[in-house]
Amino acid sequence: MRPPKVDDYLAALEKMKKSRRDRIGVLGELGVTGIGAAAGWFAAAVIGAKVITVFGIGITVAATPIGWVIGSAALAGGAAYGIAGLVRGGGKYDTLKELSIRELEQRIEQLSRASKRSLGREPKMKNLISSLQLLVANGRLSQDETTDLLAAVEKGHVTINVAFEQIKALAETTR
Amino acid sequence: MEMTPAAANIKLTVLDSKAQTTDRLDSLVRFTNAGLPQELIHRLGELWDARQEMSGRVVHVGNIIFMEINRFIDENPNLAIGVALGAAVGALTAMIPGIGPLLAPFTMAAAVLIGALSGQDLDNEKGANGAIGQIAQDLINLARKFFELLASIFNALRTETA
Repeated sequence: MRPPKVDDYLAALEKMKKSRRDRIGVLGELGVTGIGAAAGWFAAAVIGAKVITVFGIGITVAATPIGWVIGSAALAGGAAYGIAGLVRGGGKYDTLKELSIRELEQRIEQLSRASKRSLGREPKMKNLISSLQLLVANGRLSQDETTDLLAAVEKGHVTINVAFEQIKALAETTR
Repeated sequence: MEMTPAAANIKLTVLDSKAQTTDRLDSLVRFTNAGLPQELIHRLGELWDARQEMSGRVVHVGNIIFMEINRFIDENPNLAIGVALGAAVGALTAMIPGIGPLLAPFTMAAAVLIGALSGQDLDNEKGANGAIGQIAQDLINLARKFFELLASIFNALRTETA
């Protein structure tokens, strides 16, 4: 999976913020699904099969009567989960959404901070790369060592100033 | 696909380690931007924390399923994401016994949310036996083939534990 860009995070954040309250939970609050466990299971078996035809057509297996697979999955799930729990869980999922929104905001902030940092040190990085190229050309440093050092700076394991000090020391050392 | 527990164990170790580098938030962003309802996304997101004991150790089953579903979506870019997700969840539920309860919040939410809209379509003969039925069959075959290896790994280790 391609890692999302800042724009993708922003778009998702906006969509999440604009989305309404958990509609399944709202249904539960209205009492629409107060149908009891047995009826719930029946509904899950019948409706469940049909749903997947729209949501993911692939669920209905050729050799199996339509709805059997998902119906049984819904029943198996129903045993552990319960349709009533699903409906009452609306508040829980609203909270999960809120948490995801906060996580998204933090991620966007981190990314924009990192982007500002990299803009500020771009000239320094260019100088570092040029210096390293010189050292490689003079046989003072191998290509692999250069790549590893640059990766360490990129990942933040080594600061750019420390890298400069080290290559300066290497350049000044007489062979 | 038959697999010995020993072979399955090694494959699971590799899968588990890879799955831990995946990012839950990135998947939520992907599904949200693809237009899936938040009700389904957050119920599927709950799967992320699912862990199961297999072969004497705790396995990040939720992360593995998330990673494999994302891989299925990546490898079928021309499939609408909702369809791919549905096919993936359906195939996984059908192929791996015991995985139903983990995916239940998602499958049941899907049932409550859009079941009423689609029921009518299946009730008529065309929906059940015509072109839609054929597409459904092709899709389920596609997803089953994709998840065959994962199902074999899980099933081999489940048999060993049983």
